[in-house]
Amino acid sequence: MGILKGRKALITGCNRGLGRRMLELFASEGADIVACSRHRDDDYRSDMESVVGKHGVRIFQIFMDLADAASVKEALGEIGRDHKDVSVLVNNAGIAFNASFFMTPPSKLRELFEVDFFAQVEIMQSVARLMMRQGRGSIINIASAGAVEGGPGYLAYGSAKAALIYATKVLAREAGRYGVRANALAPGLADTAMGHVKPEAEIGKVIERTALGRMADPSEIARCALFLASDASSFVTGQVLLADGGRQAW
Amino acid sequence: MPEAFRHESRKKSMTNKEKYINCFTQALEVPAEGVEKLEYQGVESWDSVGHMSLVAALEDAFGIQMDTDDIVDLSSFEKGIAIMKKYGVEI
Repeated sequence: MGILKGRKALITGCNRGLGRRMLELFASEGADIVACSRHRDDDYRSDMESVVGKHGVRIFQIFMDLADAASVKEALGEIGRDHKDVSVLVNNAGIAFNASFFMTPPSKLRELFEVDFFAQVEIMQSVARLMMRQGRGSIINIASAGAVEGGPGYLAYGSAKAALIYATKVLAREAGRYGVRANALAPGLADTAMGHVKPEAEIGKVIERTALGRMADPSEIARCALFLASDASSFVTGQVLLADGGRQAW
Repeated sequence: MPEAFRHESRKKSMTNKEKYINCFTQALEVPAEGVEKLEYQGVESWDSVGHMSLVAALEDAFGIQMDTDDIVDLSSFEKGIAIMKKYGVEI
């Protein structure tokens, strides 16, 4: 349909999982993509070329390792210099960690916050400024249903994602008058490598309390991101879109 | 581009000092007189919103990209001169 035609979307964590699915969907809707990834091997390059060939869009590959402040700074410099016209940002890359409250070492807590919160905020600060100058933009932060409900075993991941939701709301309030929207997308359990980080027994429990009784296909989450990226959600900002299959519908 | 981010500081004939002053007068909508004494929140227009307009004006005028730490440190006209120096811009 081309609902993102003429737009340039920056997506982090493009090489697999939700990010890869969003990249394909956004490209199929006509968006040029600034594809950020910490991987840059031949398979990845060839995969990106296949998307270009299939959808006739441009893909600009940028190396960015969210755990490395220097890498983030360098990537943001490149984005500010070469991609001033980016009007969609999907803060998707992140890391997961499962451990109980008492078994989460402070070093792990810091690591999760570094990648899942601090780096994301830094990207938002930089990219939102580019969007404010254009007078438009949509920022989508990939949070987690776990960050909304709270749950045992997710102190580090859930706390970092909850902080990201808060930052999303603050940005929405401050950048709204410049036409820049910011929303969080909180997926439930999705059928990705990260979704399978949990032990099988734990996955079973989550599915049991999910109204739809299954994991999400990554494309279902990607379509929610597309809604938030496009003008179909032009009056939606500062919100958390829960795509959790009814996990919290009780 | 939103009105707040429009300015005309790229005129090649202007000196860096003139361009720098222009950024303040246009982004904050203040007269040139007394601009050198300006401080963050010292006038109504230099609030957090005006601040971002000023940063955009400076970045465009001098072709630089300011770090967040420097954006936070930009607390006065004078302080800004020192910050510009970090980016190789002599005012």
